[in-house]
Order: sequence, then structure tokens, then C-alpha cells
Amino acid sequence: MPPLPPPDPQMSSPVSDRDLVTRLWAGDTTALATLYDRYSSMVYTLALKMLSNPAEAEDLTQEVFVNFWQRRQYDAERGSVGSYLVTNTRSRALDRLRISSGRAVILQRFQRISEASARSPNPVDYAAQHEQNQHLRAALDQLPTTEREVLEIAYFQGLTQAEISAQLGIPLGTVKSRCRQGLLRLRTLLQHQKD
Amino acid sequence: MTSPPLPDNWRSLLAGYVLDDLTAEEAAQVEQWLEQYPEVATELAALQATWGSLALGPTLVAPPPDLRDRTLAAALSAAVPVAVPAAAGPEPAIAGEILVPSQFPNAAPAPRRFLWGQLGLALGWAATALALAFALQENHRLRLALRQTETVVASFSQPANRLYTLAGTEAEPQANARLVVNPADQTALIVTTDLPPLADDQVYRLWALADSDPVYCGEFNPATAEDTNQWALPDAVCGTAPVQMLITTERAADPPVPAGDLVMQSQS
Repeated sequence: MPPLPPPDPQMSSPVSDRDLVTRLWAGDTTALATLYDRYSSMVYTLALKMLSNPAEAEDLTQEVFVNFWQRRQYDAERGSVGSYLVTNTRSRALDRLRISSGRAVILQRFQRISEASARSPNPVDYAAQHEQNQHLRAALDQLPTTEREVLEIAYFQGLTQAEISAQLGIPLGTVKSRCRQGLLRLRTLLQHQKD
Repeated sequence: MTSPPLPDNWRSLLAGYVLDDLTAEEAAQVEQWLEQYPEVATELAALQATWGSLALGPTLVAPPPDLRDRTLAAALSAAVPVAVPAAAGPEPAIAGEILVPSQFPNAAPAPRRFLWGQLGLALGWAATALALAFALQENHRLRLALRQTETVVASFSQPANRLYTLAGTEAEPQANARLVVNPADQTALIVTTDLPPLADDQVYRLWALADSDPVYCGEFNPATAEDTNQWALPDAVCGTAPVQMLITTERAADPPVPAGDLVMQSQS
């Protein structure tokens, strides 16, 4: 059982995501509006985190939802709408980072994000956060900082372990062991939250 | 015959598999375990879900309110050529119901129906809005294509760059491509023609074949049959010469080991 699937708002909604997708494929465009309302914050947040630019994050959010509707590649048998949108958003964000920037600018982006997150508190609105986000953050808070750092760089910046090693000035073997330990530890923490 | 016991570090190797940091031999070992041990497959699914859940770490930020209308307008305009089947009438209508962007429902209230047949005037305005949105998007696409073309021209004019012509194999006989490798800034740019876009969980991967095993040189997935993609090279070997360049079709989640169909190769 996966420890923490992406949000599944259908649990508290009268219309399931699956039914919405069926309606959307049949031409009922109101279903896309509902899916947007359910998932746009998740998509936009991930896009903003990875691209560190509100205009680009807006553009990517729009692209993700337009392509969801236009390309119709989502298959309900292979996972939730949330999982699909997360995967799609991250993949497209990484493409943008690679294509438009090259590695040097990716590193600059990373430094900018690190500086920004270090000096300003998050604009927290607890009332609007999903329970799963709170669980994950609680688990992340229990990770050693060194492990969390490399995991987040790998996930949000898409850097290879060799690139992380160069960025942080630590041996490649250390990056590898921190990534693996961090992932295993996070998996255990999330499992304990569910039990 | 019973399977040999798993080594003590099997979970660490599984984590490495998810993080894509294994050697080819280690990845092959993990894949063998996946076939032999159900608990390995279960643990792999859990680790992959854990990795994916990192997306939920940042505090949720709501997008600007106007992005909703912009997104839905773009979706509608993009949907016009897709959603009008051959049997449909002359109207740019989608079967059932359709909403203009400003009338998309909020999350809580029930959606308001908007019947085309009863509101001809509104249809006219909506069709105009759709046409305008479509024209704006087409204009944007053309500007993007122009920028890509300029990038390609600039790449070809750099004498230090390495140029490759790739032809389709039996898998994609009509495909062809021009590949420009810039060894100075370690980037690759490929212009593909008649190479079909893949599903989101698949990618085309580029490999350099020097005098040893294929070296992973990046991946792409064209948005259209004719497209331009550029990326940073993951390995310096990709920028050296002479090498043969190969392109295979792979699953995006797979480790960087060539396992899929060979679809293109460079001409010697």
C-alpha cells in the first residue's frame, strides 16, 4: 500500500475524479473546471517550487491542464488524477529547466531558491492546506537536514547526484548514501503515520 | 527450487533504483529480484510513492484567480480541432454542453448549463472569443517556432559544434533528425522530422556509442511530428568525437540503460 498518494479530493466530493474524467472525455467541459478547482493549487505549487518564477509557473499550470484535456493520455487504471498531474507537472518543469537554462542557470536557480527560502518565512495558510501535506511535512521535519536537503534538490531541481555533489561540495558517495537513507527513512516515517 | 535469500542491503539498492543511481549490473539485479520476490515489488511501489509524495512537501500556494479563466479559455480553444468529429455540424460545438470561460462554475455551486441551440447570440460571441483565443495561441506557437529556428541556425553556425544526421530504423523508417552537440557548453539540440510524439510515460533516449557500452546522453519527447528539443548533456563523452549516436524508445521511469527499440541512428 503506497504510504502517501497525492490528494484525493474525490473522497469528500459527490462526483469522483473518474466520473469527471469520463464526462470530460465525452465533451462536458464543466468537468475540466472542477478538476482545475481540485488540483490547480497542487500543480501550481509544484511548478512554482521547481521553476521559482510565478509567470513560468502560471504558464506551466495552464499547459498541464490544457494538455490533460487535449491529449487525453490519462488512464484511470494506472493511477489517480493527482498522481498523473504531479508526474506530468514535474516532467514538464524539468524539461523547461533543461531546455531553456542549461546546467549553469539551473544551479543559479537553486541558489536563488535557497537564499529566498532562508530569508523569508513561508506564506503559510494552514486552513487551506491539505492533511496529506501536513503529514508529509511532519515526516520531512523528522529527517536529518542533510538527507532532506539532497532529496529535495534531486526532486525539485532534477540534478543528478554528481551535480549535487559539485553544488554542495561533498563527495558523490556521501550524496548517494544520504539520498538513499533519506528516502528509506521517509518511507518508514510515512508508514508509521498510517499505522 | 527456492530462491536464494536477499542480501542485507536489498532495500538500499531498491532506494537506489528509485533514485536512478545504480550501475547497470545493480539495476539488473534489482529487476531480477522483482520477478522473484513479491515483497521486493511491494517495497519498490512504496518507495516510488514516497519519492512522488515529495511533490506535496511545499506549502500549497493558490494560483492567481484569473489563471482559471485563462486556462479554461486556452483549453477550449485548443479543444476546437480535437473535439469536432467529422460527423459534427458546422458549429464549433462540443457534444452535450459547453461553457464560455467566464461561466465555468466555481467549486461549490452547481454548474450552470448553457445551451447553444437556445442562445444564438451568445454562441456568436463565444465563437468569436474562441477564434480569438485560438489565433492568439497560434501566434504564440509561431513565435516559439521562430525562436526555435533561430536557435537551430545559431547552433549550426558554430564551427566547434558537432553535427549528426540521424535516419530512422525499421521501427520508424520515415523519421529523420539533425543533431547538434555543443561540446563547449555541453548541450545537445535535435530537430526531428516525422518522429511521432510518445505517451507521457515514454521518452526517446540518445546514446553515444564510442568504443564501449552506450553512454546515456539525454532524453526528449517531441510535442509534434516535427519538433526541436534542447538539453544539457549528462556525460562529457557525449560531446567527444567520433561517436555514433543512437536513439531508442524507453520508459521514462526506467534506469538509463538501453532496453527499448532502436528507432534512429547517426549516419557514418
